[in-house]
Amino acid sequence: MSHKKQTRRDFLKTTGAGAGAAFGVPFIITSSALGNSERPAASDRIVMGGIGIGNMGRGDQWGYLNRKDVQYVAMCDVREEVRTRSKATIDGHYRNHDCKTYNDFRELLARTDIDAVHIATPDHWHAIITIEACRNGKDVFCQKPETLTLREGPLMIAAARRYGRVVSGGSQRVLEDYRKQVDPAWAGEFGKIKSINVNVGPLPKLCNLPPEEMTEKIDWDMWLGPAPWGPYNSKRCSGSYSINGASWRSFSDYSGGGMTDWGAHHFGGATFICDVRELQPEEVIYHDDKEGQFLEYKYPNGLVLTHNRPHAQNMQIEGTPGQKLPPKPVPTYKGGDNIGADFIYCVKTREKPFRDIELAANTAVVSHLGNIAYQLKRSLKWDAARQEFPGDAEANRFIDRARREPWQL
Amino acid sequence: MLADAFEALKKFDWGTDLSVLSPIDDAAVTAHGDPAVSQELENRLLAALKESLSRDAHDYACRKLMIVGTVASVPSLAGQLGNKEQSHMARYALERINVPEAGVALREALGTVSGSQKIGVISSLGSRRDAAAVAPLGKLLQTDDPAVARAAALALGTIGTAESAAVLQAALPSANGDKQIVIDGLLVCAETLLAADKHAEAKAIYQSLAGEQQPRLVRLAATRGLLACARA
Amino acid sequence: MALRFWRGGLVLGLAFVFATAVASAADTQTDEFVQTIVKLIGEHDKEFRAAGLEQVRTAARGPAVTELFVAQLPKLDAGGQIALLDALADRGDRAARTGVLNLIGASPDENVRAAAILSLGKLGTPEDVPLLVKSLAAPTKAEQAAARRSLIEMPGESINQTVAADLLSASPDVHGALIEVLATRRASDQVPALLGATLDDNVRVRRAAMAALGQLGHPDQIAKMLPGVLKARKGYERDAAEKDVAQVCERIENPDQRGAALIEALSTVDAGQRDQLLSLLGRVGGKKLIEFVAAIATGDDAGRRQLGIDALSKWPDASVADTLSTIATKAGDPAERAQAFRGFVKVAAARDNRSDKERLERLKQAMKIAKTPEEVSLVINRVRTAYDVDSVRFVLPYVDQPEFAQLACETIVEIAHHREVRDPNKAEVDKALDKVIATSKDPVVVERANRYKRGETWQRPGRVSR
Repeated sequence: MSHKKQTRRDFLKTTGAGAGAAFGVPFIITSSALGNSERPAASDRIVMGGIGIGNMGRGDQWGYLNRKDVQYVAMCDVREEVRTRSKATIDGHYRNHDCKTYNDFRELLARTDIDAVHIATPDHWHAIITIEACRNGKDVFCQKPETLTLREGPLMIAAARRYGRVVSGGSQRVLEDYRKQVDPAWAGEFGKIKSINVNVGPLPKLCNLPPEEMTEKIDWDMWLGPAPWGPYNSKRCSGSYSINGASWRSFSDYSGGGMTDWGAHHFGGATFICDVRELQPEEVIYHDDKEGQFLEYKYPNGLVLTHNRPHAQNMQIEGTPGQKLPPKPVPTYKGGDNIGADFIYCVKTREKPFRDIELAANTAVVSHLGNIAYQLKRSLKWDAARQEFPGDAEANRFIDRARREPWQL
Repeated sequence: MLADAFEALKKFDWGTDLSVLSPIDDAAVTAHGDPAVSQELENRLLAALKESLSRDAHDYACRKLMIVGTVASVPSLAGQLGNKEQSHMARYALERINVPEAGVALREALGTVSGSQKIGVISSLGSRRDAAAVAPLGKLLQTDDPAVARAAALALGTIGTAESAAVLQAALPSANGDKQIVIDGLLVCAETLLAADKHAEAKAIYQSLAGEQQPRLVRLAATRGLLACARA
Repeated sequence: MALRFWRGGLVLGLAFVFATAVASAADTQTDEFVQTIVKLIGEHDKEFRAAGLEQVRTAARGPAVTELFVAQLPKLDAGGQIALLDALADRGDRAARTGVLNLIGASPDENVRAAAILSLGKLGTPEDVPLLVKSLAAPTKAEQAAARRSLIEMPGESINQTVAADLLSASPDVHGALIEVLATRRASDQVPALLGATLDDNVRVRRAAMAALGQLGHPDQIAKMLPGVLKARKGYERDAAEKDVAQVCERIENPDQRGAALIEALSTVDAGQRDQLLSLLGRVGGKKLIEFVAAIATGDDAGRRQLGIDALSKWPDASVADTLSTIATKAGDPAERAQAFRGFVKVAAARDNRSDKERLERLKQAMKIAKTPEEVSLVINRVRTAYDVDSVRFVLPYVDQPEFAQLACETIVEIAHHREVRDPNKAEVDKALDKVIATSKDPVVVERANRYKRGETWQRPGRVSR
């Protein structure tokens, strides 16, 4: 990628001007380019591409396509049928043939005309693509769960900060689904919250599905990417929402199972309710008794977040209601009433989005610590500043995993 | 039960019910804090790797060695680094075994493996933040293979020492392939140095990248870095 | 320091700035740092500017530096002013307040004024509440929205009282907006004022007040909310008001106590008006109220029966299903029968604590007593609320009946939408979907059927699932 050549984006960022002949823009200015009373001029639109257009990716894509201030120009997927279908959708929306499709996300990211991307690949790709996007000067909306390992979060945050990128995680549910608890909690009506419970699962498991004949046109090597090699099986790479063995979400090489898949929502919601999104737990206490296994996460401010505590409901709060605290305004999306609008707004204003990657990564840490505790069947201490398990060589082995060549962070 | 599981491992392949190996899974957990149990499990896994295992079974054994492997596992795992089908999962274990011998094995493999496997070895050295690998990785910045050069730049950045920064800086003017990645590596080094309170070194890197001749994104990163230095 | 202009933009010789030898005291370093931030604030390049604004938010604390940043406001274009105002708000130093107030008064740009108004939420004091209240009626929506948000965010419990003090003198629109602010602030100390507002002549004010009470009200206040329900106009407003009271009733955990509280509250209402509140009883539900309402629904007075059946139809669960079924079966008047039947199907289909099989059984009962094609269609439609493969089996024969075919196809895809139904029964559900594909004339239904056969999902337009 040549960085010396001034990109459209560079030009627009410095002058705020519209299309101009001096810089090689065609003299034929379409009405779409000029904008009309309802649609901003091309120069004011955010140019976007999408990577991974499965179930969630399709929903995100549609959200961005429907925005008048976004021009969606490219998509990438390792499935040919998805590329064909997606191009038809996008071209049909704009009534042109301009959408370019890619099998390799690096080619999409190398385009200098693209401002931002949304990523909805399986989880094992999130970190690599997000970091590469930041290196290429793109802002990123990355679906949840944003990370697969503990090491990935800090690296994604660092890349975002290094290059001044807006990187938003996914999970519209954190702000939207738990208002019955969020509003009174932030209003101080629970008093000091002592504990909150989250019920979520299952844990991820190893995938040992048998090989199948490949009946779809999919770049299997690219689908696997940094994950260990395994034979094609339609359930291994299915994007269905099942976390019970019928999709990649179930399997530890690609996902953290329900702990991360739905944990992104529920742990995200719980930490939002308790206003600890900026913190990470310092200890995870593992319990295994006649009532089953559950965890207690201890936060530096004294909060205890429990996972699957016996007889406790999801989002069940134990507070001190007689000791009301001063209310605080509830953080919310900017620029609209959904997380996609919040992202686009922040792309324009360069603010941190509601689910900034740091907050998203902190939520994922809860899931990952839990998975490790359950796998090792014991308690763990966690040093958030050093991002390691102090004095615990065995647990530290789980902070990351070697990626399949040629992929690396 | 464990013996049965290891017998089952010899025939294990994709599609086999994973429950036949659960005694090994359990042993890998109960081995924690019990060196004798851990050593026995490791020995069994290493012995299994000598058998003619399916790829799946081989990978499984490596997954367990990731948990219980020690210096004793290094020779076996190192021996697989050049094998296209085994290399990744050998690194899956080796990369996470925190003994100097694992680093030595990976560094030595730089000279013996090629192609994608070489890139894998480079990335594992980076993930281990192996300071002793800086010199050989530095040489790879000039290799004709742009993918290897890129991998080396990323790894040097991850290692993040003043030495790796110096190597990257020296290579920048004549960097083969993707110059942006060399710069990215330098920026990562600067961040690591700053986090280690080495302000002057970090600032020097950022200053070197803040000039007008640099692409806009690089100048922006340098500006942000200089601000961070000023705050520190 | 070298400043160079290039292609109309401002590019800073930052390399020069930072390379200047600095071997000086911390104050000088801080000055240099602050000056760098100031220069970045003035950048046209938004991303360089953002780097500076991050520091405004979090670094170089102190009122003197804040004032220096504020002093940059007049030098910036509108976009720059808005960005700096936002950063100053996050910085949270009230030393910026005067500069912000000046912009509210002087800026010709509505978005700048709005940004300044918004920043008062974090930088303002109770003295600024009147200005914010006035801004709720500002000429532009941006300023109105900013004022609202600021009033919500401004810390301090005294704010609730200050806002409430303006309620009665405000125009209806502003009055409504202020009530919404109090509700969002969860100002339970202002419930008396809200209760008063439920009787306002203006519908916006009434609605805002009832909605606020729905969120904040205590069960002790149910009786005082009832006049507000009666004041509400029939239709949307009345329905919404009833739901607000029901929401407060739900704060009583024990359902029997809930019913008792409501009956007691009802006794405070003029006898001639109590029947108008029957519908509310329906929304609250519970065993205690079933007897009370059922007696009216089966009584001698036709007018009261209609109100009673309406109340039973709104029950939150299927506990009144037998009562409604009996009324439907025995009713002599066709209109009364139709009303009761509709109510029966509605409660039978309620997504309450029953299993899907139980839900389906009730709907099958409804089908047994259905007499007209409209009633059959109603049942077919509501079977979609029972997420079970038996529901597919039940509806499938209706695909062969032209009168019901389209609706049956729609119901089948609605049931098949749920993976927990279709995945374990793939072969059977696929066969049903094949029939839908062959029969339905609705392309959306056909597309959905095809997607479910492929194991894909489908998103309702305008909604992101998961």
